[in-house]
Amino acid sequence: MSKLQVKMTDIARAIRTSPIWRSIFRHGYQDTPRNRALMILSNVFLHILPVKVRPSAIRYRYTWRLGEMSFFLFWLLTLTGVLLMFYYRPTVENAYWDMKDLRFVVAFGPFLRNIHRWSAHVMVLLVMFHMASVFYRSAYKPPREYNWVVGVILLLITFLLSFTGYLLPWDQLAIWAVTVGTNMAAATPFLGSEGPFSIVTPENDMRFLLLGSKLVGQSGLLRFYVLHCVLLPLAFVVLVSVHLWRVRKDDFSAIPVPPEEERKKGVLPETWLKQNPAELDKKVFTWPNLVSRQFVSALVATAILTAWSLIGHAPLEELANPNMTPNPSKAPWYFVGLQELLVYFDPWMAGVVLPTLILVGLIAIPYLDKNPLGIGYYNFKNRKFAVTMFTYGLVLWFGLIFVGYYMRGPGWELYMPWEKWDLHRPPSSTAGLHNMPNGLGTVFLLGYGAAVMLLPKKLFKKFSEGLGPVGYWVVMFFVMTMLFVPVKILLRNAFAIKYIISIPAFNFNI
Amino acid sequence: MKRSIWNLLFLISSFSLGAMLGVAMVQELFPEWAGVQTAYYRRLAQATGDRSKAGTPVKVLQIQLPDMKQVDRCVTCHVGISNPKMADQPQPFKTHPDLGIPNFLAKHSFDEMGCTVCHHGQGRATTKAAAHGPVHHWEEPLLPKDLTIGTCSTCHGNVMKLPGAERLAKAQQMFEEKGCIGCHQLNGQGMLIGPELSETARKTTDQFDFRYVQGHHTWVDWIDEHFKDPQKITPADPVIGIPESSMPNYDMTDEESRMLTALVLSFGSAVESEHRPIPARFKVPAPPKEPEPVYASSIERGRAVYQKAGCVGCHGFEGRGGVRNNNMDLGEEVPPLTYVSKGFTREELKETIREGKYPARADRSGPTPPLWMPSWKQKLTDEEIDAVVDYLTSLEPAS
Repeated sequence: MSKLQVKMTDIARAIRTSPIWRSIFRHGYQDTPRNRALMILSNVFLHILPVKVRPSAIRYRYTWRLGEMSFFLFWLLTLTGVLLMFYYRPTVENAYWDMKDLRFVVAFGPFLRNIHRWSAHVMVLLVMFHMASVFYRSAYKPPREYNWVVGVILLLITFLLSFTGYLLPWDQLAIWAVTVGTNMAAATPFLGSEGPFSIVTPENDMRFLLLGSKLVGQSGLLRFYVLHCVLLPLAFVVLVSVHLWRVRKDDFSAIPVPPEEERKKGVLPETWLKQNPAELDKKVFTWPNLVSRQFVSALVATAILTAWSLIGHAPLEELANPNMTPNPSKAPWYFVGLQELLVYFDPWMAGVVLPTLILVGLIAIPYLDKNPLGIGYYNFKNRKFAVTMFTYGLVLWFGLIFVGYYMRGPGWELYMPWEKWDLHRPPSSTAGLHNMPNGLGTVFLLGYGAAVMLLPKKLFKKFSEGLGPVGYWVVMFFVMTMLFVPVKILLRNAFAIKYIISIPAFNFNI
Repeated sequence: MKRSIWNLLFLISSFSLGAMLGVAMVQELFPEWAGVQTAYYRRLAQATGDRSKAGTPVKVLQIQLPDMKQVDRCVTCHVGISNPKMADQPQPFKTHPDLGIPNFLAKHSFDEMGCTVCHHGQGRATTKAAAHGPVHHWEEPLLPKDLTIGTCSTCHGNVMKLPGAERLAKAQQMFEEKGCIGCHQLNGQGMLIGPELSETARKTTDQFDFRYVQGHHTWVDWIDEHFKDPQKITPADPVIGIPESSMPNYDMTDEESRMLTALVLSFGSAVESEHRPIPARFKVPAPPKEPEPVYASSIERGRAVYQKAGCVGCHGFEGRGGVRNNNMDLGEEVPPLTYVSKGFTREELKETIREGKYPARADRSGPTPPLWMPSWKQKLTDEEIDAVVDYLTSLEPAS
């Protein structure tokens, strides 16, 4: 050892043994089991993680790191968002020009805005995928039902965070996407001025509550700003704390997978674990096994988003102009699927009833699915119905988004994704469309409902008994609603039927 | 094995992240405008002989115009616009020319008025591409030099009387001679058979059909090419069932169509804009209306009204006709008026002018003829109509 090295080692030791250092860092970094445990236990941030986890929980292919990445993106968005707040004023006069200034004169302004925008899109996508992956591993089953519910609410908050942020640049893209979204609120049954059985006026309905006005304007911008920067992030932090804490308290769902030969024999992991209970207790230290992987994943995500932000500029169209509607006006991509449904349903269905049923249905899943199998691993064989139904919903959701986003042009006309939009194409005719007579429509609707809800009870006795007396009806109600969407699409496209039941006096059309 | 993948990922992503942040830093430290400004100060040192100027630190320069709601950063690159020493330099270092107009520079202080009020372009931008355009989603790209004259009317009510506006005045004269106002409304004057003209320059790119335009997809090129060949830019669209433009093709020269484009821009600039309010102190009022001249006879007065109201636009110089009207009987043309007094009584003529008339179709199953005789009773007084009839009667050649 050279003299310098000796000297450096001495200085380092002096620092590490100084009272100041010791007052902050309670223990050293020697790689001992005690320190590995202490790293988690004595750190307020890390102690949301358990000290030890099962090796199966660390495997990449188990979680795909989706939840952790969403959580990380939330903080990346918070950081960049706070920095953006220094330059942004939520007023009709200034908002758009502050975006221009960010683009042209603020140091790292374009980079900040781009990374904020792209991270938001990625986060929405990852949260949806996270939900799907949790579903396919049955991680919502007891004892984790409540955490799934919290997760669904977090999904909703993620949508709302992104949606409220969409308005802030105050360009044509922003106000018209939000106009599409908030007009759906005006179609709420009873509480929306344009909805069925409306009991309110445009000055006190749901849209007015969102916008503080009948149109997207200054008060709406301010409300969305406050929601985006204060209320929703606060709600997110509170709920995500509950969410993560619950993951720890309820024990992480991943279970050890039986060896290859056992699986080939068709032994269920549950049975195998009963024979080998010791396997469940095989655990490794979180530090560094899990923490290092989380860190690297976050690093990779940051690198990808940084590259994206250097190449791609966040969109900024013309200054918002309430008198000039772009054609087509599209909602943010994650709501475009619902907008696509507007072709087939009235706004009160597409914009209010169906999304509400989706949320309620998702929340109800852990309480309806009584099948105890499949927790902590992928299992299709023993939960065919649940997996099929969920996958069907997922495909429908993303399919509608794809059609709405890539296949709809001016006048919401159908275009192939590779086709160029043509403003001069004549609109497709709606002349042949007709309504079912209300009497026939009622019979059709009741008949459809009865068929979907009653037939399985007769045909699949074991299946219906497994769901329980109340559970069966609730499950079949959601199945019926989900299947109703393609039924309506078929009715319109193949039989040119616009409404099954139409009562214009109440604005009530199905 | 597993661990090594994570190690590799860690290495790759941390190095690439570092490299990319480096790139971002370089982009931030050496923006496009900084190079231009450095070059400017070097040239300034040469031009003035003052070496110390060469090292002037660079920064974003801007003209803030809160009462016009503008921030013009053009001077970040065009630093020397008010420095007379830079008159011989190339763009973007050059002094703003005085355009051969006495007192031009003294009266138009760039510090008070900025640049985009005359030149358009994206004043807030700090890159050449974004500032000059055309760029997507910026509706006012930098105007071509010869069209800048079209924005003088933003402040000048007396634009046609300005020195340097001779070409624009010529276009205005053409506008009046051809009787454009017979079909195009302007500030409440004229008829609405064609589009209103003060709105045209304010239309957004989305509102134009650029399928047949050769140049840039900007309204300037659309209007310019449309003047030269209206039927080429707005042909019939059988799919939607729209007939071709009924605007006559005047066989304009490049200069004529260009100056008429500037004129249309001039009409638009004169309209108050909420995005660019013009403070009253800049406004030059329009000259008082010239009093109605005393005409030697009712025929002379009728000729003046015929010209001013824009009858000439369709019925032609001295009523000789000639404007095509698709699918109209009488030879698919707006009828000439030379012999009109032979076919109609005085009262019938006055009635037609007052109430207007829709032309009959040549082919009954064909489309409606695009031009029609509007009702003039709101626009012309009875005396004026009388004078016009006198004038029309006088057109019949004495045989």
